[in-house]
Amino acid sequence: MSLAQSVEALRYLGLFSSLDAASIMSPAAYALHPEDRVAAARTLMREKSISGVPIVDTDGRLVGIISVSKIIEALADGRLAEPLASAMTRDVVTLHTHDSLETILSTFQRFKFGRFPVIDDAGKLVGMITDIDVLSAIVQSFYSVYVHDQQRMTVIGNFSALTQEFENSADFSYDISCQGLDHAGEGSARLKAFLQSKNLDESVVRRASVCTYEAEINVCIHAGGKGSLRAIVHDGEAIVRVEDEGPGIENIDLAMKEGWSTATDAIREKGFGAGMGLPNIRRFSDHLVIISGKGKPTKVEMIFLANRKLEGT
Amino acid sequence: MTVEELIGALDVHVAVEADLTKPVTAGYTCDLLSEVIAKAAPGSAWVTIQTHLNVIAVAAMVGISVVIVCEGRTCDPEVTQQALKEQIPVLYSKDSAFAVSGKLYALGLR
Repeated sequence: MSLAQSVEALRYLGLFSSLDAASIMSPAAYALHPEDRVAAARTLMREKSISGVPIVDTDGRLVGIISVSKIIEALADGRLAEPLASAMTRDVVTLHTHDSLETILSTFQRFKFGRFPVIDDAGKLVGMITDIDVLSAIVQSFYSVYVHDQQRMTVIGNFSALTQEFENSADFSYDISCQGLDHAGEGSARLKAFLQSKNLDESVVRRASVCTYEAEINVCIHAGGKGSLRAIVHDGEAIVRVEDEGPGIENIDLAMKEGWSTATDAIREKGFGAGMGLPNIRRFSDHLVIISGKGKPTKVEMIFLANRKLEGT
Repeated sequence: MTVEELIGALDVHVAVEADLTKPVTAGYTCDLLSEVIAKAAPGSAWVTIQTHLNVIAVAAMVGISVVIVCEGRTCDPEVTQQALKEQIPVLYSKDSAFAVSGKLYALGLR
């Protein structure tokens, strides 16, 4: 897969859609001014083991960048005592704080530099992005992807974690919209009736209903009651996706633990928030993908295969 | 055992009749809805102190045969109406969930 194709896949899946330059960059730790001497840049780069230093004016606006190669040129020409203004690159390729990961990757691919300064709307330097920053941000994003599979091998690297058919159509669709918890579960009750009408086997219907109920309740408890519930049925199996608009699961590993919950006491009093929702979903689904993160939407996709005996019944 | 037979053996008030001919084949006692939905067997008598609308939703989802609300608690009309709609009998008991469960166990439910 080429980088361009990968970028396309990222956009399609929305996997890293919340990553922008502001969240990926490292804060700009070092900067020099145009009137500083070239020798100062050489010293800074040697002491801090960095290969480039951004140059800013007195307002913090980015005006240039000095790299190792420019220092070497200045050294050869005996211009170390001259101001950086005479040696720096003025035509700097920058990233903006709101640039997407796709834009950042394209910029790396196009310009082949090791680092890019990040500027805000006022043109002020706010950070730097190196390839390591990008890699770290992507790796950290994977902490918010949870994949559980009873039977199949799933390779996130191939971007096959989520079912793509949902992008085009679904056999069942329901908008979750509940105020409080009183009428929560309506969508899963309808889904159950739909699955029964499709003559799926009893185990698939029961497991899909139970898991969807838990996911729907989660939307009502944690995501303001707004979300969508969709299902696809084929070959006796059911694929269900429940999505909301956030505020997301900050730590999926914790959320998967039995008994762990962020629900309020009022909700617990009603018998919810026992920290069993996601663990139940894991237990009853054959394949589970959760994509979420702090301040992000949550997508929960579950697959229920035919011919699996339901435990305990 | 049917719901009707179960009523005869317990000291309960019938809040929602719905369908008393339903067979009761198991029992489950819990107030955590996730536990009930995950572990109660279809056909169960569900013993609980929860009284809100979601009880009926969970009971319908699982295929509970009868809900027994304990400790003298009662449900709002909205809840009993929903139970009737879902055809799930609801009984009220003044006893604790422990006492009701013990009686069900003595009746042979597991």
